[in-house]
Amino acid sequence: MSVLPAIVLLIAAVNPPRRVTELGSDRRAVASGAALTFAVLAVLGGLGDWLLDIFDITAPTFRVAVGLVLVVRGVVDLFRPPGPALGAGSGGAVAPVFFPVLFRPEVGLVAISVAVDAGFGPMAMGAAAGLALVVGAVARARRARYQRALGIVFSTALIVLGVDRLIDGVFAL
Amino acid sequence: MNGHVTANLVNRRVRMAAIGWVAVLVVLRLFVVQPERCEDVTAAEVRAAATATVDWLIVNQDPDGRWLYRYDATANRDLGGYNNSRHSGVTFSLYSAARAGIPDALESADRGTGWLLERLVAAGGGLAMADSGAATVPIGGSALAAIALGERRLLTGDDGFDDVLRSLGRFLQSQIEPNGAVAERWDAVADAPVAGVYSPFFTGEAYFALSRLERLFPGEGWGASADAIGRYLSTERDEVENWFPAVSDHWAAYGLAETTEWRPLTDVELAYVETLGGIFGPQIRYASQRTESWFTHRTRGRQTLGAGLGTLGEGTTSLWQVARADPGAEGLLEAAAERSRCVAGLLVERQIDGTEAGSFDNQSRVRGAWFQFGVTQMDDQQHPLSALLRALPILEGAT
Repeated sequence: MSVLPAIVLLIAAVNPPRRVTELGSDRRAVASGAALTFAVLAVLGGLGDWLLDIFDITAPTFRVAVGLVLVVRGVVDLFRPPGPALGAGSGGAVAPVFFPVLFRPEVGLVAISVAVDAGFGPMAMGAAAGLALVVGAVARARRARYQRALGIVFSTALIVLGVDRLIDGVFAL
Repeated sequence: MNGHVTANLVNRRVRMAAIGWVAVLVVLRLFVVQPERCEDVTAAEVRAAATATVDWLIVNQDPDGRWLYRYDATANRDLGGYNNSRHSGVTFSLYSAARAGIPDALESADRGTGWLLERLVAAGGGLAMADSGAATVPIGGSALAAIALGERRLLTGDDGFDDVLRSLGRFLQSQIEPNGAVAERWDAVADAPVAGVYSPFFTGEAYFALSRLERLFPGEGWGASADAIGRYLSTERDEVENWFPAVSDHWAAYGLAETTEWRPLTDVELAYVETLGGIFGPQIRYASQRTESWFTHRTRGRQTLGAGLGTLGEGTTSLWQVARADPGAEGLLEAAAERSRCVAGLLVERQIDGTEAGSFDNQSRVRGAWFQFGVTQMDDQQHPLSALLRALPILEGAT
């Protein structure tokens, strides 16, 4: 996997437009939660090879798992409207921003897979870009009408990229 | 929304998300990413396993050169039957074992060759291996006979069988159709190929055999025939012959690896190398997830035959050879080595060792062999033996 697809995959997994609709308007909390998410993803990515090794999973098989999760997530996001925005004032950076909004299964799994397949650098760049888009969108216009449409685009992209991961994993040597 | 209600909502979302995380991880572990149990093995362990297999073949060889074909260990019963292709295949594997320095393999292989040579008949302008009186003859035995004798030639340098090799080659050439397809059978009455009938494996065997002849006897025209088959295999075989899913063709992989001995692969051949990798890889990963447990029986099926697992190892080791020889396939080198090591580990683990053999009535018929449902067949030794031998350079760190 080369750098650009790795970055695109991570941004799609974060799905900034959809995440923005689920977050409150406290920019500081969102930025802190995004930073915490990035740190956790960096740890997961850094430990990616080790994690697959201790669980006896090869990179292609893990790709299949990631592909399935992305497809399911993409389909669910397409047909289920986002949950109500969770006010950051009620919990702050850790909850709800880091968890459950930003640190999601598909994001964590993609971070590991990208780090294993493309290296830590592309994983870090992709995660940083996706999370920065979330923070930036919250800072600008979090209730913009096009967020919903953009979320659908991202969810569709997630399905396409998930199928790509799935096929790539199944038919890898 | 007041603070209390919001806090409750957040708590509920956190709980649901935590349950979601756990559910995703558990479902993935149970059904998608089961442990791939590729045992780490050393070259010494693999060599020991290959030696045990050679010993099985030596002990279970009849004086006329044939080997025990099919055996039920539970009932301690010889199930009879025989097959020319498998006879030639075992002969080839034993010559390979001799090339790897395993004692007594050459003598056993030569006894096998003696039986094989007695079955050669004039066919297609050359010689074919055929059962006496058969109306039509499958060509697999002849192709593998050429491969076996070619292996002997590489091992010993003895040119005593060169004429036989060329005659087998001429017969195989006579079976090739204009598009590169290879007829599965030869009609003994008409002395002609049986049109329109194809085998999933004989085409690859003929490819490997003719490619080897080009390596042994360059400039005699064998390469052009091999190339025709190779092009057909790479571009249209699965569609023309309606194989779905595509043939898991370890013999084609052998042929591609053999071709790298005398020329670089073409782009379509390199693309076929990738395709074969995509066929062998998932099968190995799946096979490595299978155990004898109730759960994996239901989610992954039973463990495959020794022959089946062995062919996968033959395939990936061949791709490793291609990747090592041809820069165009270099990207497959690491993955091919990893899958080959995995197969070697699985084979060593699943082989009946001396301790396990102690619980059977006839230890000499089980020690060193691979069984499924208590039964082994000679190709359950042939393919694992070749896969183990071909994994040795990988485990020994050949560059």
